[in-house]
Amino acid sequence: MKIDRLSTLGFLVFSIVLSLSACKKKGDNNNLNKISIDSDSLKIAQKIEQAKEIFYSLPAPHEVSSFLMDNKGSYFNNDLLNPLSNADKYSSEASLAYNLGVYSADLSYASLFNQNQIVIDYMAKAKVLADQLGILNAFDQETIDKLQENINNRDSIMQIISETFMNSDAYLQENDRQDVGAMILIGGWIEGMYVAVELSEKNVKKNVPLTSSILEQKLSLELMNDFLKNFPPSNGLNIIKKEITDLYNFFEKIDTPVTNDGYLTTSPENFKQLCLKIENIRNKIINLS
Amino acid sequence: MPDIFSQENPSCRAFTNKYVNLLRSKNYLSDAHYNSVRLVQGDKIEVYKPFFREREYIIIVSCDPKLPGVNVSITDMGKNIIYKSEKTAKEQTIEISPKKNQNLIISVKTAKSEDYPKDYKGCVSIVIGFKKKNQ
Repeated sequence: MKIDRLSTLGFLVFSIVLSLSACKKKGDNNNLNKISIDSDSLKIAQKIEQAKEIFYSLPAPHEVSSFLMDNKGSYFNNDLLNPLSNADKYSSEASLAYNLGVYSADLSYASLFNQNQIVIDYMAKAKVLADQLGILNAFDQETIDKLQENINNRDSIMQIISETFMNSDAYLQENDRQDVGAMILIGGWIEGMYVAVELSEKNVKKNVPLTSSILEQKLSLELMNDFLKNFPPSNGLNIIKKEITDLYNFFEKIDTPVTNDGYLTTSPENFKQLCLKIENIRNKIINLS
Repeated sequence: MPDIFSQENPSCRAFTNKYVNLLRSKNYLSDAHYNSVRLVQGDKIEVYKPFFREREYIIIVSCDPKLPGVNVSITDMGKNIIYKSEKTAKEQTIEISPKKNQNLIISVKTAKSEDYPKDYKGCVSIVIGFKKKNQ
């Protein structure tokens, strides 16, 4: 997803670099640098130049699923997936794009729990939606064949899924269809969050690592909100813009203290409200036509 | 075999795939974003991305051999510098282990040099991978 810098930075700003905040060490490789980010105290200014392009790298569906669900308390529940039969009603570009993201998140979720046949079925349905969107050579028969060949290797499956998303992203970028790419990512993010909040049973204390991961996704939402503010008007993105903004504003309002174990938490009421908001957005997306 | 560096071929996919494969060889999973574009000397691009604690990330920045090289900096959203490359290079690898959740901006600027063709548009790619800590 990329946008021109012109809409976000109008001026050149100059100031002085005071110091560096990260501890950095050289690796064995000549050009390998390792950094550990833990400083939030040093304020450093720098010369800001206009960038030719900005890429908003919102988490792709496999990254969201991996982040949210890859913990001990999570499990697979087939009832949480968007049924494959719903695909028949998606015909507009927006409904196809958002739900391509939804199905991509579902197949990523299924892959984490070795639900191999579901992965193949959802990938095949994702291909149908991608074909209708005119995304060429990303979700192809070769990908589905490769999935079948590697069906018992979770890591290979995740690699294939990641490769598919990247091909799709590349195609959309090269064809100036960044809005479609954004809809796919937003659909995937919402679906990942939906599955996570359902697994938490909307109870902030049910699965603390999962709850914390859900709350930590405020970071992705912040970037999504920023992207939606700066991206040129798009009918497809407008469908969900208000809901995403509302969700972000709600996230901004709630207190999310860190527990002694290092997890984020919030009040049961806030968490429940957050879950309901996510559920509503997800239902809106899967009922688009 | 197509020339992946040719300006006649606007796509940087083949160029990018080379670095996606490199990332995989280091056991990272690609974040699946295609952050690649053709640039001339002195151009700058940025990637905005959320980085989460309990994850390890790798960023591989690379440029066409016919460009003089790239400089990389990483800042938070307030433009506070987290990392700045010490030298210009055609390929730079940065590993990040965030201790807190943070949206970061990866800025890549192509270097300028009279030793290279001035108006040449070459691929510049920012490939990002992630894995769980201790994976």
